Amino acid sequence: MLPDAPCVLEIKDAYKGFGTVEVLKGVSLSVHEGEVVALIGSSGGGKSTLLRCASLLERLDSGEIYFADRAIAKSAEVSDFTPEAGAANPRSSSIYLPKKELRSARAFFGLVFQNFNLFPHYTALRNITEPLMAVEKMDNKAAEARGVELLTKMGLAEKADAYPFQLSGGQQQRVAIARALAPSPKILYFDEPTSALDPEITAEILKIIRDLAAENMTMLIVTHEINFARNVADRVAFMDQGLILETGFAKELIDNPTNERTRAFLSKLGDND
Amino acid sequence: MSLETMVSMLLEGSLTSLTIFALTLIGALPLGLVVAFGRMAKNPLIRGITWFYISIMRGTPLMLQLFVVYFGPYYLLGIQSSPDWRFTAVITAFIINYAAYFAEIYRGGIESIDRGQYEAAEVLEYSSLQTFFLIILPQVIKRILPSLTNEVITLIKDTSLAFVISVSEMFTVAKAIVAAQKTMVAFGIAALFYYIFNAIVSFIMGRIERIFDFYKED
Ligand SMILES: Nc1ncnc2c1ncn2[C@@H]1O[C@H](COP(=O)(O)OP(=O)(O)O)[C@@H](O)[C@H]1O
Ligand SMILES: [Mg+2]
Repeated sequence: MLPDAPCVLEIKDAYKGFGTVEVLKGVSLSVHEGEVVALIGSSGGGKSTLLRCASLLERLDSGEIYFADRAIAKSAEVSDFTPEAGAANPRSSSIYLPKKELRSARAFFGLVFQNFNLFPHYTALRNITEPLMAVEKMDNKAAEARGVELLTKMGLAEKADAYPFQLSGGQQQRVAIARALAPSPKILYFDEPTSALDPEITAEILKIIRDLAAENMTMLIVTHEINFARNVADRVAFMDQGLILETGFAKELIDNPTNERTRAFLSKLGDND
Repeated sequence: MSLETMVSMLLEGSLTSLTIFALTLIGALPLGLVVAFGRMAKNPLIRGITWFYISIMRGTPLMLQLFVVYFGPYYLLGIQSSPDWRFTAVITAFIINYAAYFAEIYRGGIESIDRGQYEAAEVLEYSSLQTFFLIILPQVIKRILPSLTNEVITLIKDTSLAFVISVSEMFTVAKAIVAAQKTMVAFGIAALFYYIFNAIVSFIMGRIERIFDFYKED
């Protein structure tokens, strides 16, 4: 990563609650161009929620989101301050772009889910081409060329006509990565992309992510694969109970965590391995 | 009356049955989808009204509904019904009754689709309409086809209920012949017609289910 690369994703002071449960309690995170950031932490810490907010699947209660220079959500002061209002941060609330602009803002990122979420009624190729045609209005030929190109890159050229149910978990996840890459997003999000896979298949997906990193793809990855985070990510953020407690260069943070809870989390992982 | 005359009269009646059957499907299949959306609406008033409508349609006999629709305009509004009304009333009653059943089938199917499908479509910038018609509905149809088949087969037999307001569908004709000729033969022939019609519809539905076998859920 270039030292002064511009921000691709910036989240400022994010608050998010579900009912009375506060899940994000003032999270700030930035990802720069060409950078790979790994988000680690014990489960229930709010990693998925943060990624879902960055994917616009959930709305922040308060806080800001920027895609490069473009403000997606901005914070506005709440004039009548009512501490008992129940919002995670009652002092301000997020104002999002209008619905239509929000929809097109989604072209900015790609999201890879833990359980793939391929469309079961489309072949591997059509999972990639259909969104290009339906949304990007790409013509049939161009979409197909793009689909074949990406499937080939994922080592799945010969599976183009297979339906998801005919593919292994690892193959399905590779199709899902291809689908997310197809519209050429500026950043790719992964939410535990290997957690639903057998351990021996995990390496196959991690290799693909490593290859993408080598191509300078900007990525934000929620993962439990600490070695992978250490070796592939530029930076690591440790998240716990709705807060990012520590961020740092991957090797430094993982080898020498300064925060008490990061240390506890990492040593617990070490014990389990 | 010769057997030939009997068969040709019944055939004529069966055309009416077939028309009731087809028009009901054409009306109730799309209407059911609209009702299903009402049943799942965010607005509690719309949801409540739809719930009430469905519960009435499913909780009272179709025969009674036929009477209400047929006589309603006269007794409730004092409108003298035209001769065409008989048939229109049958179609109306069948459509609003079957739409309620179809709505519940659609709803079950729609609610069974994984939330991840919506989310995948959403991050790929699909609009709500695209998501529903391109991603969700095809999967819903595959899942609900067996239940739809059941309803469609019930509908074939239900068409005979139109006799209660004297629409001359096959059963009405058969009943008239039996009464006039003092022989049960007409009933036998009608039964055979229904049975064959059923077999054809089952076969067609089976083929449609086979078409959707091109993929499986994992
Ligand atoms: N839609 C939701 N409704 C209610 N609670 C939720 C919802 N999504 C997440 N949570 C809660 O938020 C907390 C953080 O969840 P999550 O973001 O999935 O954490 P992580 O990905 O770090 O394991 C958990 O306690 C979870 O139960
Ligand atoms: Mg998670």
